[in-house]
Amino acid sequence: MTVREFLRVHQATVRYLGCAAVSVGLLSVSSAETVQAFRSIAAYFLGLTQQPVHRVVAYPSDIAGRLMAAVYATDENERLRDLAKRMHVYKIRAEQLEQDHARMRAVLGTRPTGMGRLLNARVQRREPHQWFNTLIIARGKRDGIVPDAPVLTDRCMESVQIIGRIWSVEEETARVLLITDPLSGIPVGIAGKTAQGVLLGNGTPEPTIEYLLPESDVAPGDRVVTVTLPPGIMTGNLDVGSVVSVELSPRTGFKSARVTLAGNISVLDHVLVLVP
Amino acid sequence: MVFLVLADAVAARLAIVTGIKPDVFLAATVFTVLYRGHAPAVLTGFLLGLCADLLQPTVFGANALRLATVGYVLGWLHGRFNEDMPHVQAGMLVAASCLGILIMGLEALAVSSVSFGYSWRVAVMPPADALAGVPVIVLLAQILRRPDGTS
Repeated sequence: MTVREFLRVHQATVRYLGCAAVSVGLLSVSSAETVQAFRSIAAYFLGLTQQPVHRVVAYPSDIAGRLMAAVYATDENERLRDLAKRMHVYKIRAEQLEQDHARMRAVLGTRPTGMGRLLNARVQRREPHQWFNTLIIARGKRDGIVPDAPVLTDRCMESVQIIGRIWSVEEETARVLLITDPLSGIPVGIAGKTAQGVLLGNGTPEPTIEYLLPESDVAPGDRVVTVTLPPGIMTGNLDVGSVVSVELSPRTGFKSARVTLAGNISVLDHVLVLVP
Repeated sequence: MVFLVLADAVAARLAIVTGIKPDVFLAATVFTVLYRGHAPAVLTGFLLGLCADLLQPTVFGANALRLATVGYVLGWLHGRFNEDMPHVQAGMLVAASCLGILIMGLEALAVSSVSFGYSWRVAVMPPADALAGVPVIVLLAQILRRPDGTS
């Protein structure tokens, strides 16, 4: 058998040995830089042809992906609807909390220096035939309520307004004497002026200031505030309301002024008690 | 060769979508074994391996040796089966895959290269990937059909 015949018969083996030798040689001597250079050249030329192929192949897969996304979109939509509802409830709650927060800040911000502690009290009972006379709050001795403590309302957001004072105190409740009750009498003055008098209730929403001196400079629109008494019966500078009209009583010789209250005394669901 | 490069690009895209990447170059080598003969399979496997080494982040020469060996070993089976039968093609592909795993393992032992660990993972083809090469063989048989009707 000649060499030519041997090569023809064992052509596959010879080829394999040659290829294996070249492969092993490449495995042995190939450096990373050289291989990377060859790969960069190949990637440059192949990239031109592979990009359109990738685009063509990607198109149906993208459509399939979008169809799958559409299938899941209904469930996702339901979840988002529920989430939106919950977020709406949270938003309403947050707004309510913000309003409460602003109201309490306003109350605390308008509290005069040296004033005692403001205690929030729920109106427990209010008799219809004594609507402008008394009411009962759900706070008592246990909470530190004392007789004659001023009772305020914060219905007007800018400040607190006095609406009465504690008349009698029980262990868990207290009775409030409103400033519109005929038995009520609290010392008041005109803000920014020297005139002082006594605010007497008359059973209507507009009590009157009595015992104003004839020479006192009181005019409609003047702001009425409480006056501090020495034993601490009444705290000063609490907003009462504003003067509506002034008239001179020929019988007593004093001026009297009708006052419209700053606080809405008709609607009271809770009040603030100023405790020492 | 251009067809195989493009087919490899398609396979790479399919791998992203389906998770299965048919080894186009191995399938082409098996096609050569089945339809062309022993000696052409060795040379084709070697050239396709070099091409795969250029395209894939393997140690240069690893795929060339793997596919050349596959072509040489499986080439002995040329003409012994009906190459048009799908189960024959699938069996040859699985056998080629197993042989490729063996060769790459031996290469990894022989060449203690750090990057070989990566090339090992890239080049080893699980059975699902091997079986995915059957359509490639069928496609090549259709494209390279001779005028007399044989592939």
